[in-house]
Amino acid sequence: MRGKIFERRVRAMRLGLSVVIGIIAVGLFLCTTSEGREVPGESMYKTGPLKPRDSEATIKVGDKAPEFTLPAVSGEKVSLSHYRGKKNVAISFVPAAWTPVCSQQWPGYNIAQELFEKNNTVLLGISVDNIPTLYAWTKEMGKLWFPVLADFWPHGAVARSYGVLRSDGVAERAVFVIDKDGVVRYVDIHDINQMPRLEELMRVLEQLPK
Amino acid sequence: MNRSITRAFVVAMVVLVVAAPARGADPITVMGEPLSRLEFAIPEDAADKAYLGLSGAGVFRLPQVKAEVIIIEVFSMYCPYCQREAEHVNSLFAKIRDHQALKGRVKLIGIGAGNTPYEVELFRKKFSVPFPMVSDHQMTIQSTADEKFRTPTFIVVKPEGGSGLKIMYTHVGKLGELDEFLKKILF
Repeated sequence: MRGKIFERRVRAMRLGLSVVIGIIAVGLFLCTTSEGREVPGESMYKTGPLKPRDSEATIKVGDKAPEFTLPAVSGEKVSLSHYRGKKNVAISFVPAAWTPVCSQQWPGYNIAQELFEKNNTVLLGISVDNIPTLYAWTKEMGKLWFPVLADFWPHGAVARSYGVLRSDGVAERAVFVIDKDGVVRYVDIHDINQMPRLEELMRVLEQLPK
Repeated sequence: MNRSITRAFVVAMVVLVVAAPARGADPITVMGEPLSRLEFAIPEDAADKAYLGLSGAGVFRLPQVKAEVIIIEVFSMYCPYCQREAEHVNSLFAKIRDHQALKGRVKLIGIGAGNTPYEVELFRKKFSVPFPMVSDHQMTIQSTADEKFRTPTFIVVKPEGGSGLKIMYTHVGKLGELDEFLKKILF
């Protein structure tokens, strides 16, 4: 009699264990195929509110823009001097890949290509992340029309030369506008938690000599 | 043992199917009362005004829109998912416009969450959006829900009694098949 009870208990335990394993297995399937994968923000790392600014400005309007050459996600190398005498340059430093705000700022610029072109301006996106990270991140945004540059090694060297490298190694959310002569015409070291407004940038570009 | 594993999987499947929320269940709870009180700038464009049944200048509230059902798209110019979905939402507009029973009764409106009028206009021009889109620069839409809005979110409402709104359905993310979406909200 005791043997039978023991046997029943073992069978019940086995069944219970199988149900648990089954729930986990089926649950995993449902999760990975759920429509929720399409919902924005799922892959974003939630930084929470950050100190609005964590660097000392070194560049001001009227200064000569520091020269740089950085690798682009597309594989080429991009130098600021390449645009000298040809185009105005807007540089958008963003703090880091896969973080809020940044993940929307460039997609916003991405639909404003005509506005940049109308003002004879090229846009350069710069982040301190490495190329593979930037590749994966920008792929999520769709096809970007402007070069995305990795200021990864020496880490944040260009961000530092523009005075926008924060103490934790990420960059400020900053926009610089440099005219065709290589002179800085606009500096916006923005609150890192907030989106710089597009119309403010366009207002500046419209005032530059084409 | 094999039989018990099979049985366990069947039980697990039943448990999960019963416990999991049905597809299309409301993913965000939006409150009709605060939504009905939000104010937006009356569009300047005459065609937009005519479509929404508004006149003059100043602000309007959603219950003032001349429609039996309003489909609200909460979007952001900066949201790549909204950009990718724009053409599909335009198709929804065309489907309703060309539908004998829905034409004139179901209206679409976009609310640019956190977007300035400039940014809303840029989005609208870029994707040739045929329905009115209004700016909600201060993100007042957030006061209508306890959880954070994700974009795009679709809120389907029924104006009631001239100043109220009844929330019929909400949907976060891609719209999916348009006929299915319309079936969910209209039948």
